[in-house]
Amino acid sequence: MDCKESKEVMGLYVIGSLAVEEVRELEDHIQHCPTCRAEQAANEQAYALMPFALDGPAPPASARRALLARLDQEEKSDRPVEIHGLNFLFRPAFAYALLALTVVVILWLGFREHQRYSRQIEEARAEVETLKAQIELTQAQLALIQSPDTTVLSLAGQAVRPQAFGKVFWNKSRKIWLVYAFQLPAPPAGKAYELWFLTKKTPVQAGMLSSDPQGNGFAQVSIPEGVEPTNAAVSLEPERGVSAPTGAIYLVGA
Amino acid sequence: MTKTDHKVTPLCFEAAEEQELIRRMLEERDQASFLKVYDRYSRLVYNLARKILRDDSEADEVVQDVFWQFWKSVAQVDLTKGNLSSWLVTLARNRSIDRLRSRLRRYETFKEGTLDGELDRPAGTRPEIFAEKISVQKALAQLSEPQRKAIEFAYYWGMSHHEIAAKLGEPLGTIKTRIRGALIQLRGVLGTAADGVPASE
Repeated sequence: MDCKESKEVMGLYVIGSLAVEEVRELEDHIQHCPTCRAEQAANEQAYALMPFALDGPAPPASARRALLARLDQEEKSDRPVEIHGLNFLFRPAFAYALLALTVVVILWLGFREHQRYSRQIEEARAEVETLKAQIELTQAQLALIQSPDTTVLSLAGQAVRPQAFGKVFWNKSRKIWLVYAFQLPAPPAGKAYELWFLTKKTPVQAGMLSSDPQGNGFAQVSIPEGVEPTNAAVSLEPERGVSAPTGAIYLVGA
Repeated sequence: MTKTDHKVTPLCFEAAEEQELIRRMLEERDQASFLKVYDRYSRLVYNLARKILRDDSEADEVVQDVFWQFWKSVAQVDLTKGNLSSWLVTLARNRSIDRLRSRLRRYETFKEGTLDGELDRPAGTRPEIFAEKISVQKALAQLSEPQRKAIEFAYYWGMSHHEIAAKLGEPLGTIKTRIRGALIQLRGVLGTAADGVPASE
């Protein structure tokens, strides 16, 4: 297509009435011809100005309102989803508060566990100390029993409790008695079993026997200076002890 | 005040202002800028749609369609290929002619003769005056009646030159010549003649 042919069909091109084949030829020509290209652009501009000549009213206000409503609707739909009543969940302040609370709870739980384990350790340590003390005591008692200068005095049950019996391990050099009693009846309330040094003169208060519900009793006592025991006895006395026997005699050395 | 004292301003925005409005809409989704464009061009779009469709209600729908499309597709507005008004007018014309053709497919008939007549203006509606209107009305007034008819059939009805020829009972070549002549004359009056190209040949 040359410039003359181009100018003839330009009008139809502008109104969109040109056949497809001619459109292609015209566009090819325009692409390579600045003069025709400029004329074509001028035609398009003039044609586009046609509606500017129209008189008439403004569109109804409802059209503007409808568009504004669509804009508002779009703006709302573009916002992040809000769940009424739970919006605070998505706020940074809430996240920080939640984080802080979590840290506090973890610290508190850690502290509580630490306290619990510390208490258990202390209890275990105390138990170990107790066991150690018991072992030491038992070892000391065993050593005393096994000592060559320890003699054994058998205790026999008396009329109030014939089946009761006991033993006194008497270390002469260290002046210590280890007293074991068996099958004693449980003492009534306010009463306890008291041990006596029996001397050539009067009985001397030796100490109280610790006893258990099974009827076992025990005492470790030192023989005071000036006391020369020849035998041993156990009587039932007030639990605070008395200076001279007043109650029933349960055991006496054989 | 005499008629010559009345200052007539252009309808279209200055290029820089147009670019700024588009930028704000694009980058900030600025509704105020959108409404500024709407308030400036909605009457133009509305009356173009009314002229084509002869139906205020449908014209109202076209206005909403066009400006909603503009809001949604503002990124596609290419100001290097024309100004904003031409983008909106092209869209409004296409939408209106689509509706018109759809109506024709439903076997509705045009009201013969209404094309040439001005739509009745609602009572109390004051015509809006702006520079482009005066120029284009003046340019159209200088066309011959056959030229004006041919170009308006093409523009407002979207008719091909075959349809226009059939409608007017004129030879194809005659219609072709009238359209070409109308465009040349319009270019001349509107000052859109291309550089180095005589407006009237």
